[in-house]
Amino acid sequence: MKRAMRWSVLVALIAGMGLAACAPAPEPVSPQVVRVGYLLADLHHIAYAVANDPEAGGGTSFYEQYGVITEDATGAPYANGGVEMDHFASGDVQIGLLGAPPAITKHLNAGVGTNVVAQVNAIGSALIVAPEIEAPEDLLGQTVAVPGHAAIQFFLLLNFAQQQGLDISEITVIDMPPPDMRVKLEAGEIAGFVAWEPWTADAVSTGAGKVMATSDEIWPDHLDCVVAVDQAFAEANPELVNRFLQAHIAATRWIVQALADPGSEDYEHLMDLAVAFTQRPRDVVELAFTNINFRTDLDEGFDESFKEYTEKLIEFGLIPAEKLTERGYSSVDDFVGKYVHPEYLEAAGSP
Amino acid sequence: MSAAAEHERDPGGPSRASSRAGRDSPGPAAAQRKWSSTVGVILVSTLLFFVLWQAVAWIVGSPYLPGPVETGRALIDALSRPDFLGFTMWEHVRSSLGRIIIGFAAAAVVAIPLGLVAGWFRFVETFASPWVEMTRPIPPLAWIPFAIVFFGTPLDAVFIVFLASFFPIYLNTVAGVKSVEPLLIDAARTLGARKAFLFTRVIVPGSLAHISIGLRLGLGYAWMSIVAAEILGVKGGGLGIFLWTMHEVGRFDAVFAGMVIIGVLGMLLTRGISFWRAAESV
Repeated sequence: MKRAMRWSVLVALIAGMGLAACAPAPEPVSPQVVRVGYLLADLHHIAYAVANDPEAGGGTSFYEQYGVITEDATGAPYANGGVEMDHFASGDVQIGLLGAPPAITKHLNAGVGTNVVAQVNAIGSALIVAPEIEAPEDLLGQTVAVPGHAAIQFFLLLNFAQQQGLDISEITVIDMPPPDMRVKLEAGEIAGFVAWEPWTADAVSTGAGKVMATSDEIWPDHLDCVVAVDQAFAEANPELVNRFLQAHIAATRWIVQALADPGSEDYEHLMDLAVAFTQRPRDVVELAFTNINFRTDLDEGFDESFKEYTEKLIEFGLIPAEKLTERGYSSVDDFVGKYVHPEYLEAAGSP
Repeated sequence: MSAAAEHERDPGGPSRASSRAGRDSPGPAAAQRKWSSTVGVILVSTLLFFVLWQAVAWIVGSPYLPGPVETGRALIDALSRPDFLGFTMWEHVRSSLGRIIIGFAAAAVVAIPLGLVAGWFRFVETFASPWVEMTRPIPPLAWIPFAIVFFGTPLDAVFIVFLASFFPIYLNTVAGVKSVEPLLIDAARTLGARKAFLFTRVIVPGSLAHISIGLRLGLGYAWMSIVAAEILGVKGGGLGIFLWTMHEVGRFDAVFAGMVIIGVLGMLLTRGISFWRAAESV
């Protein structure tokens, strides 16, 4: 009986090794350094932490597997995407994870030479208000914090105000790093805030605030963060961008699979990584994950969403319409067609 | 810059003003020529400034440094329609100017009498010195959380302006009192002037040059603080909010338009103080 068991284990091991050998493995390449920008304690950007984690990659991090060595760009992590775009402009950031609106506004308004090459996530923010705020109109005359005026969260607030018929000039909108928002809400210095996860979940789980609207309710299934590349860097290093994206895709798949299996070791490890990445408790990040849709694809839906963003940013006055032509684009369609570069993702093997 | 150094350059200094009144009495034609020449120099200087600015912007060739033409376009745009916060440039200017004028005026009303008294009575100056010396190095912005909670809108920003303006006005006023020539004081006393007369007719007029410097410095600090205070959050718009939000979305042409507005307003207000001082001297 014992001998039969030993044989079974041996056969299983050999079969397992054979299967592993048949599985597509990344070809060994000489590793290259990439300076990466990302946002402060933003759970949307957990793929960056996962791709850097050896355990998630099965012993070697996903970046290493694809021959990429990452280092935080100067000043990273950033308080908001607008600041990150300034670091793109200064040459500090070569590849960055940030919200779509700051990428669009700083590219069109200030000519920051970037392109979008992948998605990071959809949805994942919310408007949190103090317990005494009952209705949207209670926000009039009050102060609401956002991570920045170029950030997607300010854009969502503008959208919310428009939907509710609120005059945005009657709401004082201030900048604040998301980690400070709950404390300021509790102190009564602000009546509400719009932030990325896990800071909305943090306020809700501690009872400091309540959800007035999730970003998914304000704009269903809206695209959120993207992977942007410095134009000159990508043109000079297309293969390195591909490898970075391969690791990004692998990390995102790992996150999606881990979240789909709450009892698994990967799930537990993801929670540990998220707690370390955001410095929030386990229950907060667990709640926050339920409000984020991790995805990398740049399909037609993405293009439509990106176009809608650009049109809205122009409508709200964040981008003067003439900036399109000043940057050499004939229309919003033309801009989206030239600014979004799916070929890197296709070369990286994205479905 | 020290008060003494400013004093050296102040055209309306107390000692020179009195002698100038008798010595320089140019006729209308000479005054006209002088005025035309001054205006001419200012125009040429301003033109040169814009030409240099355009040249540097052209050489740098970055949207982060727009030229005067782009800035002018952005200024017209900001003046003619509301921005994405819902305010026109006029409303931003009105909000900031209101905060500046109230905070600055309050600082002057408190600091000048206090400085005169402290300069005249050594005990008052000594008594006030720990308060002044401990409070003065604290950046006005450090008071913002306190101001938001205890003063609320719009007094929070006004309080910050008050703090920023107070110390230069106070310290220059004290220096002004101390700078009055002892000879003048002795002469007045010899002629039988009582303390009240001496204070109001010798000390106060003799301190005006330094007070004027304090006011001009205070106004400069007021502008610097209001921009920062507004960035950190006040209701009703303001030039600081305008500058910060436009920077965040990469509208550097609009940022420069806001900077030009602040520069022009600051210059006009400072000129106003200088004209007041010149009129006082005459």
